[in-house]
Amino acid sequence: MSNHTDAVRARAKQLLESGEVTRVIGHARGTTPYRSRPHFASSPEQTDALIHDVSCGSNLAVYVSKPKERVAVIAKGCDARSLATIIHEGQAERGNVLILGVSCEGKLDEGRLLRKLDFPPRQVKSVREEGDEVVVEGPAGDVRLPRDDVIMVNCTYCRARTPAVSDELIGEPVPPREEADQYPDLGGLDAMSEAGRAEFWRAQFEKCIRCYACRNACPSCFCPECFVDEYHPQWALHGGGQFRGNWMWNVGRAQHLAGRCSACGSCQRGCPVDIPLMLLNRWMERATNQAFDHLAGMSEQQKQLAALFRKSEAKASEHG
Amino acid sequence: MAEQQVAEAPAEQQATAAEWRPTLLAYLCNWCSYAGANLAGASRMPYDASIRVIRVPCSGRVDPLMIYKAFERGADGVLVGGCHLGDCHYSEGNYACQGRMALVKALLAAAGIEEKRFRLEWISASEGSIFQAVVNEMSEQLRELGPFELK
Repeated sequence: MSNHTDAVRARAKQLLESGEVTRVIGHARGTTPYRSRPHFASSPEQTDALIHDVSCGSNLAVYVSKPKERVAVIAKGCDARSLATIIHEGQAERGNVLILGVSCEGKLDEGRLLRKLDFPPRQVKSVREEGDEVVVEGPAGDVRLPRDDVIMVNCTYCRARTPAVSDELIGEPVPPREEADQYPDLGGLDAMSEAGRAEFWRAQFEKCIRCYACRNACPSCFCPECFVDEYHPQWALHGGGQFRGNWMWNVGRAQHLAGRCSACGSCQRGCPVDIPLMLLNRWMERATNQAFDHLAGMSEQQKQLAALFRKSEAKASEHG
Repeated sequence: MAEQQVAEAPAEQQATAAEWRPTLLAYLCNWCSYAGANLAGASRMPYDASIRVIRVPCSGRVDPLMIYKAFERGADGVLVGGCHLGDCHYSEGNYACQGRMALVKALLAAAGIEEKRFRLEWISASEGSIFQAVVNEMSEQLRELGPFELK
């Protein structure tokens, strides 16, 4: 069960009443029962809108940008990984972020959920979790679906179901998924030939409309000017539909997220044309994990990946 | 001599399909590999004219994007040359390069670009013959692989 709404509300109210934090960043109900939106509570009354259930998938670390006063963030394991990473990269002072960790067993993938239903999305009355099932209340009563069938695919191999870095924890600790280190999601790419992979990505990147939703959703994409927006040099040709420019953007993006991605899946969730961006991110995570023993945001002491390239750090083992 | 080879390139690109010559883009560090290339030229060691050299102050200056951009702009292969580990003019630039290029290799593999199209080599200023061997070998491999297309 990962409906922590009551606990999250109570703790958020406490924090704001005592003045420990000036704001609590969490989720509120979105436009449908299976959607959530970010919610920023800066007074105790505003905490009533906070929720935390299976629909709260988006990564809230994206809203933490050099806060001047202390804020609390309701952080799933992946949000906490992102927070640890951006704090380390100087985007926030550790003392200004209270990481309110919540244990998590996976969050909904809207597309996967709706494809399992035989009634229109607007007839979904509520969504809740029971044991290992997600229960959708529809026009003809409850529909029970195994959780693994309707959560984000990246959640099914999550290594941070309990936040590795947090100030406090809401909910019982949940062990990491056993599949986390085996990278089953990469099996398809692994099995392909080089030409097959090139063909696969060609088909994917051709769809890209360069809306940069992936960039906007990503907590690690905080550069004031992204390489793709530079005109001199112009790294990636502008405009969607140009394969070469799209290729540069997606490859460059994966390169810049190597060793920094928290595997939250926000980029893929945000993608309007369903490019499986997590495949590239996870591919790079596997590479950095194997070559440098580095996993982003799994400990507070961790160095940045690029720091491990230095001679003096070359063989250092980081995460613990 | 190395510069002359580069200057001749445009005319050679006119070659017919049967004589297709790959484009091998090389980022060479100023202190070692570029000097190594220079030595190869000064010693009149012939090497494949497919190479196009861009001199960089240090192999640590090579941004991974510069490699992807080369492929995007139609290079058939990319070579990065730096000083041997421990010999970097800036102490640790080639270590930084080594780490970055490990990521580049991983990402190129994910994107389906053949391993042999990208190479990182340590070539010192005295190793003109190694420069010659690397360029010839890599050019030959690129000929076998054929043109790289990302259109």
